[in-house]
Amino acid sequence: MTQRPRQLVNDGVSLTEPTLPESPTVDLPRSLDRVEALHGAAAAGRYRHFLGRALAAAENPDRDGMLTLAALAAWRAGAVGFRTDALRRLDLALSHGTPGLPALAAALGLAEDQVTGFAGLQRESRYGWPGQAASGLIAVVGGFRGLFGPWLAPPRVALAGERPGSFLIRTGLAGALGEEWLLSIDVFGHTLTRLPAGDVAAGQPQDGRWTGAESTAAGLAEAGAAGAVLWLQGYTAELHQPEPPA
Amino acid sequence: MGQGNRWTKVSESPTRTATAGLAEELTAEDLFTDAPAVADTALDEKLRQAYFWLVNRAVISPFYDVEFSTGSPVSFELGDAGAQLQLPTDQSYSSNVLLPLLTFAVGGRCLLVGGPGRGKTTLAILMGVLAGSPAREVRRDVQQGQPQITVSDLVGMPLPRDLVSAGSLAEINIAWRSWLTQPVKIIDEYNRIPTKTQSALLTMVAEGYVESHDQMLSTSPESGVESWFFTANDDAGGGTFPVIQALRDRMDVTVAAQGFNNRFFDELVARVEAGERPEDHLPPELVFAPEEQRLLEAAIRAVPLPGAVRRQLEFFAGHFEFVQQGGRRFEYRTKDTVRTGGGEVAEVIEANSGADLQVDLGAQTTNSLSVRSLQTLIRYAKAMAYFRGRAVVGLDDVAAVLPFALRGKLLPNELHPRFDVGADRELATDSISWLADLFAESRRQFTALGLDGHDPISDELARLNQGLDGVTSAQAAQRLTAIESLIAQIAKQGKLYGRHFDDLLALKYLHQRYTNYVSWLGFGG
Repeated sequence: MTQRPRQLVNDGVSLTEPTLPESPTVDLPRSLDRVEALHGAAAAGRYRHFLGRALAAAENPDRDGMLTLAALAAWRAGAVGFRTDALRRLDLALSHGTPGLPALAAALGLAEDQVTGFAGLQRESRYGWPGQAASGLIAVVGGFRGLFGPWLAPPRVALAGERPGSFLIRTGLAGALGEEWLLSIDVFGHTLTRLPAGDVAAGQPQDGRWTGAESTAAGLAEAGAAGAVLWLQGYTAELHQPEPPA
Repeated sequence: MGQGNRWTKVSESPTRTATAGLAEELTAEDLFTDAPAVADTALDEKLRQAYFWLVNRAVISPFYDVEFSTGSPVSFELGDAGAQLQLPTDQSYSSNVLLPLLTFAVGGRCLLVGGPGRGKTTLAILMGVLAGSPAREVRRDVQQGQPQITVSDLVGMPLPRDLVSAGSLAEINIAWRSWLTQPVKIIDEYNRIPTKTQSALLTMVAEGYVESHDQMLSTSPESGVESWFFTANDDAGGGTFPVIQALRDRMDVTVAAQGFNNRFFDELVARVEAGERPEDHLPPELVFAPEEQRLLEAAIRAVPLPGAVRRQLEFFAGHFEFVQQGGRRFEYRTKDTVRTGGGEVAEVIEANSGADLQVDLGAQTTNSLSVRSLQTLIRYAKAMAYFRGRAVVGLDDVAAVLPFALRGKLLPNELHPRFDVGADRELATDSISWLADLFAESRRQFTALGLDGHDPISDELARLNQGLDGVTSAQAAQRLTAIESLIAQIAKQGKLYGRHFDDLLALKYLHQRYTNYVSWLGFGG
């Protein structure tokens, strides 16, 4: 079966298409375009869903409140680039009580009593999510370009990046010029950024990290303590939460 | 007069704005500001840099006839004969440079037409240099079409030593001409080549090999990607020898070399004074290594063609096969039946009083689209999307390349009222504008018929594609009824157009599949 990129956290989410209210303080349609430009129409659809529900639950948020809800909704929609700012804003909102808990919960797609727990889980692991199984699939990334994925050739080898949630993946057929991709991932989304061709054409990056890199048949652990593991499967890569040690 | 390093300037990246970097450093404020541009060093960026070097440095081509716009571009009515000048709002391109460059990228065949001295051969030579061959070698390898050129002149000859001593053809070695295995092959004035030699050329172009004295040589270069450039002063059947139809059909795109814009005379003067040729000064960073050419071609092929775009193409191509009185049985009511039977397609179209000729797009042509033409169109649309840095093929990408891919393949019906009288008469000779208009009209009809929403025939095809496992006899009978109902709906309309032809044959196909299935279920008990 053809694997499609997905984040497990989105399974079972029934999206709505709320009309975003007009705001005198921020340009909401522009933010929708921005999320679409960064992550495509599917992410924009999720952003509309979570932001719309959050704004409906919020009580006249000021500009900063709007920014907080927008950052949380964008992150929840899969725009991993907003992760750091969204987490910072979530902590501030929880400590100041504004925006209120209903709006924060709606922006994240959680029940109100799960928001504080979620913030705690995220401090421990970027894959933390209430009710999530202790182990198992977190996300599928990549895919063949002809089927709307980013890759022309299957991923062959991978390296753990320098920080949690980052991996370097090399795609290409044997003996052919490959491409290198930087994967940044967390529980809600991921980005795959193609690295400059010059480094690839040279065959070996300057720091020689690829020397001895093998396929990930046994799983490739990420940097840091959380320890998610990457497996290359056909034209996709799978990120798993391994079984906790007995 | 010293010219400095005016040749070496390459457009700075990014030549198109792209999506921003995706580090985890974005803030909520970034959601409400425009994305900053980022550098892209991928092959599509290199291709665009090559394009901009070609138009800005190598050939003087200030034409932007491949237009892209978002929103409504500003437009001016000029003169009293309906002339209109549009100012596109998105990056637009010069067809006589872009289409040859896309041909180089996809490994296609490009016919450059136009009067002498318009830079056709220079452009083709530049493509050879882009592929990594030295300019001197590319110039030497240009095959000049002339009435005396023989097959041996073109491909090489047997070694005289072998001709004397060989006991069989297998022992004869051929001294193959070196141009045969170049990544870019250039045939100048191909309509001056004798018919027999054109046939040898056809084998090379169509099959990718050349044969002489029972010996064979693959014309594939190291990269496996070969592109062909043909030039001709005439595309209307002129020249010393008529071009054989099979060879003409192999031209993937046909592009007219534009005239010189005299407002750019200063550049011309500078070149005369410097005595330089652009192909000698291609910046080395723009050269595509064989491996890059292979990757580039593969990347273009892999650009997805979304279903919505494919459906519009299906609808467009569906207009042209059918002709009402082309035959007796429904399947044979085609232009091909008329032509292969020795009839005149234009006369048969004119005899059709059942359909509105103004609405029936199929009535404007005397032939239909071949599978080869459609494959070419898909390939170049993908190349266009890739060149523009688009993730998937858009309708605007298709519209941009369609006139060049179908020129000389979809032939106008000169008896059609459109070409006879009125404001559109010039379209009889301006085939690029006519083909662009034909596609635009097809899109308008598609929307007007509401096909971008619900398409019951696509639904029925999709239902069958899900497989027949578990479908009961009663369910199959229901589907048969639904298919007959769709046919009845078309029959009720009275008038029949080309767009109905494929639909009706598809419905007949579905009917057959379910009929056979029901019959099989019956036998299976």
